[in-house]
Amino acid sequence: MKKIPYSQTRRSFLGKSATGATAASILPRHIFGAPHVPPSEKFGTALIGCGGRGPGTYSQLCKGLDVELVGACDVDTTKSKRFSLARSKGKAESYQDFRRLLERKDLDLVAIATPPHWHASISIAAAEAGMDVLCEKPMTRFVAEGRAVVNAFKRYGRVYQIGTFGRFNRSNDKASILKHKIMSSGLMKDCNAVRMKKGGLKIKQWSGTPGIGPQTIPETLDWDLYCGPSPWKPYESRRTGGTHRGYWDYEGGGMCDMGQHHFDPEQWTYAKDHTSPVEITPFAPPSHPEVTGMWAWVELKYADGFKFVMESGEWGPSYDRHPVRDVSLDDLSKDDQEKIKSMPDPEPLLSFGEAVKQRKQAGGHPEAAHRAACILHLANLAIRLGRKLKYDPDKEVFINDNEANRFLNPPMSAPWRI
Amino acid sequence: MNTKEILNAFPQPEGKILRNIDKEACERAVEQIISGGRKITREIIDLILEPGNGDDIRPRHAIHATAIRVGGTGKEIERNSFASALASTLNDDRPKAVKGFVIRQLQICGGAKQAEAIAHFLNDSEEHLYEYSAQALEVIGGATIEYFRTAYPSAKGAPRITILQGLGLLQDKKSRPFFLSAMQDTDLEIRLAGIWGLMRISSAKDAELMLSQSLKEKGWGRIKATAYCFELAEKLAKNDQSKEAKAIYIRIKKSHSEKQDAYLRETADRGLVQLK
Repeated sequence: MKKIPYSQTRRSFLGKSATGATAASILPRHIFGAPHVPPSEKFGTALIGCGGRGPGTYSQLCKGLDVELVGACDVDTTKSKRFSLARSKGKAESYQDFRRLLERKDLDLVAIATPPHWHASISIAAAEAGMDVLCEKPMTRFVAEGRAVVNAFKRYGRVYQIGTFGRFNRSNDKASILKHKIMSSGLMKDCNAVRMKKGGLKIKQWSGTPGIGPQTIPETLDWDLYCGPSPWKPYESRRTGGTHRGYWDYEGGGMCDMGQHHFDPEQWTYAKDHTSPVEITPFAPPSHPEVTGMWAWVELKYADGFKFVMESGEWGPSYDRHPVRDVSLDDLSKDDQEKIKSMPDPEPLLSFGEAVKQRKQAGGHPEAAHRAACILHLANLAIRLGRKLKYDPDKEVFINDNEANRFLNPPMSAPWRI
Repeated sequence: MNTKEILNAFPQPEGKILRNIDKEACERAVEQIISGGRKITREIIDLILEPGNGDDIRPRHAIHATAIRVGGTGKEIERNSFASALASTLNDDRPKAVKGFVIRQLQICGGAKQAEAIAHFLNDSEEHLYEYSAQALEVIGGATIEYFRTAYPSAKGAPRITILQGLGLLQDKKSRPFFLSAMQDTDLEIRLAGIWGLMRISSAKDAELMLSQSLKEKGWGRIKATAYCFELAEKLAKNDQSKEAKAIYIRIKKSHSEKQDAYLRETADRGLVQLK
């Protein structure tokens, strides 16, 4: 176990604590349990996935916490070594295999910024090892992974925050709070609101390049470990390093790259953190087997009638099925409007740092993150399959469409499994 | 439309991506592939090459487009016909990588009638065919279990863990002896697949063995094996076997007394509370 000096505040805490005898290293979160954790405690941290968004995601993990980087992990060792050097002068140990990193006893908090096909498996494993997690968006590559993450963090009582933070602003915005109250009140029947996201989903930017052909694997990259739970494919450089977003095996195009940023706060505003759409209608050409491509629009309708619409603005016709309109207090009767006005504001959302210290759920908790990711996955599946899909948000399966259901929980490559 | 006209409906990359795609032309082409039967399908498959051996973007796109478009209610006849045509190409003298592509399309549209053709590759290590074969069979479902059972005893290396994991994924209770035996293997990941398999079949009578094995493991093995014991307890609780679930939680609490295992004791406590 790596020996790390105590900070003054940490030492003074241990002096008053029954666990003071162990004062030789950072004590992992799971020694203390919950919820009485002094704000001065130092946390052992690590980053898994050190390229691209990695450093930024790690900074988010550290906000408001006293931390010490103890490990950096990447399937490409040049990236983990570079990050360790930049953030710990090389003191943090560099790993290629996250399994070895998670075996450490001095690790409390893990930032995950791998490509998304690894997000769920590593998040779950980190929870199983007793760690709290801040995971880059999108939360998952497919629907069943999200449910498995939710179950794991509930089982182990760990803190999880998805790496998008728009909902924190919305939860402090008066207009958004009002809409949240209207939609969470249950008073809105047969809602005809349509919220549209037009453009900004980087469809062309994150379309993949087909037909490149096998290339030589860089010496520092463990390609088999990179593929991990996704189907093995011959190495092509564009399958890594950011352009991975354009391949179905790892992400899901601009929809998944940008979608969680947009729809996570929308989902909070319209009080849909607990559910998913029931009907998904796409307009898209047949997709390519490997790479993401063009689509025009997708409509996602919830059980109460509320609709999210995505219009790519980069290909095909505009959406014209329903007029775009927002939720309004005027949609309700005078009596119901008074009920809304007397409703208390929703509880403030806790940041990751606050949640870790208080041992409470973070604002971007697993269920909310999963439901937001489901919006993207369901939209993408409708785009890929090219047909209207009916979805049961409780059972999390498509209704009367066995072939579509195959995409909700595709088998992983051994030895990876959820 | 002949094969060339069908394929011309699909785009070639412009600026590296498929930015100009004609939805209606593609949909018409898919209809032609479906109505063209085995002959057209085979002609297109003939144009698919090993990766790096030439341009086959359009044939791959056309086959995949058809595989996804023949799904859904009311298309059973077309789906079976197309899947049968695809499966028939697996018997040909073709590059293994092309067969891999075909199997991946059968994962989308194949059914029990194509399972035998797919299962032929369960023990084939070339081009990861074992992996593609197993995954296609797994989504087809329970009707394919016998192929996994038959293939497992002779499996070695990567196919072995893939097939074992497939038996667990399909929750095959008859594979209990395989899972028990795997738990004693020298390879950690095989042992974990064995414990996972026993969890998947909710084998209450093996809970003690699983717990004992989890305690023998170290590091990653211990993390995962303990997790599978927790998952078994949850499955048993859902199956009205609270007594057996409780025994697992209590055993984990007692056997994980180290300071760094506090979170496991807390997890067990939460499980016990849920039982009440």
